[in-house]
Amino acid sequence: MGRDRRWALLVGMGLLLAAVFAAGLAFGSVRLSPSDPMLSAIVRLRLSRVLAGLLGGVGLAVAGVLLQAVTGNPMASPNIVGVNAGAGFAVMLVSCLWPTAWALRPVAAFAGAFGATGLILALCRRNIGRSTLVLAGLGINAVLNAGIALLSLLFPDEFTAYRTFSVGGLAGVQLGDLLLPAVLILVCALVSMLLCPRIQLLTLGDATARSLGVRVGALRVVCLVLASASAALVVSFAGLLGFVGLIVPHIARKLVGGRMVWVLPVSALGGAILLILSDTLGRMLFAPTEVPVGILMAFLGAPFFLFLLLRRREVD
Amino acid sequence: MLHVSDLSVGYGRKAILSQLDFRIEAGSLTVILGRNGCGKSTLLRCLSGQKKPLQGTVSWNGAELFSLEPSRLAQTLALLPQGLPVPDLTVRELVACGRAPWGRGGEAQIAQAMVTADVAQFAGTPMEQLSGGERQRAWLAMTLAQDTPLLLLDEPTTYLDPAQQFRFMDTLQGLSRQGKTIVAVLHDLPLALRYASQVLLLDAGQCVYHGSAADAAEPVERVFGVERWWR
Repeated sequence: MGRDRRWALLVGMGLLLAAVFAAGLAFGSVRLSPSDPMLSAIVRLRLSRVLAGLLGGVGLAVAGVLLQAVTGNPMASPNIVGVNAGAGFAVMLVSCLWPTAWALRPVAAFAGAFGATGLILALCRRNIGRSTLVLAGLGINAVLNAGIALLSLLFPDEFTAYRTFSVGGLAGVQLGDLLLPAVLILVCALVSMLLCPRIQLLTLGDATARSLGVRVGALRVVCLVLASASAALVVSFAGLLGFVGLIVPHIARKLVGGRMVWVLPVSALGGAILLILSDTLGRMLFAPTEVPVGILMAFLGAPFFLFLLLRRREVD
Repeated sequence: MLHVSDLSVGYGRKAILSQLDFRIEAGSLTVILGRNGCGKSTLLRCLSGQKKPLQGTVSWNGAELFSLEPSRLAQTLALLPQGLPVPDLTVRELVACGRAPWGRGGEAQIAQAMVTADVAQFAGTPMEQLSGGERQRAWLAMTLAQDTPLLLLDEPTTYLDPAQQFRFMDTLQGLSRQGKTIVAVLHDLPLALRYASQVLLLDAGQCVYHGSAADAAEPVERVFGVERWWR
């Protein structure tokens, strides 16, 4: 695809995002009419959700693009390298120890995600190669999931709340919850965009990247921190949404090729479109019952994951 | 000139190559030969500044490689390693990555590199649609676009059929005649002795021969335990 067509695609996706955004405000589990006395209140509630979908989509897609580039593994996503499990374990721990301290949970999500990433980095300090990173992520995931299972046995009352969190959804998100994540997710996306040319070299292999003047270890750490921060910020208001960071970068690469400078913005827009659209559909499909967007993403993402896995095995 | 002095390379504290001393003249095509596991690739990684030696120095025209900033090092030498991935890029996009150490621009170098490596006709083709030999030439074009005086190649002809191997080595020979200093690890003895101007032969942790390819047959036969039939 040529440069002009890539620009046209970006503009088209921007317009589609605007349309999906408007649809997210207009449609939901309740039909609205212009004369409805609750119109402004409902639109305000929906605005929080749609903005959460936009930020969540951008944050998770950017995290997925970075993780896949850094690990050189197209299967990598925030849940593979332990970011989600780290955030989930920390939230579960805080919920069990201090059940009423709701404000602590987003902080715990941050701490858990960074903790898991830090642990992976510490394990890989001697040899932060691609496969080492993914395997370390799998190990960390196993330990954290075992920890979550243990906590659910010891504190069964808190497990119900955790299940809602672990599915992932945008219901109940307040505008005030989004201000800090919005600023930080956009900063992470911007810094990632600026680093794209260097990250591109990382996709050519460590030895080649070093030969081209890249400080491979340092750049990989920066990318992991950016990816962890983006994903943890989303976890803090949307729970453990999976698969956005896996599906979207793949589709973006199919559309615009492998140049990071195009893949990243197309993924960010695509993630936002996918999440807002899925959340709107989730509100409408079984109205008035709402299906959390995390469930829809799992229905979409799990077959996609299996497809990638089978295709990769064929290639291997 | 590449000057290696009292160089020992290894893993941990264990040296696999000890106290190497040699000079590689500018504009030569030097082939490193040796049995499997003798340390050829490790030596190449060390020459490229990617692996610190246990002792000794590697310098290019008097500048110690390990003291150079990464960007300066990348303007001095280019490495084509083994086991390259198939990036999600077109040939031209890959070749353009070679300009990274120099910042923006370099359209002329990119175009020239593709012509020299004979991949200009594939400029807009995705790498995954090329054959193994074409991909290898595209990677060579990327290292040529880096426009460094020193090229280090680790088994660049692996997976190429004989015709592709000769074509690839013809290109390298042409580059060395234009003044590039090329150091390549090769496994194919006839190919190495046919094209190399210098041979560096490693055995049992030592450099057992460093000299012209014309005189290398006997030490090569001794190290590899093969008779003249392979020539």
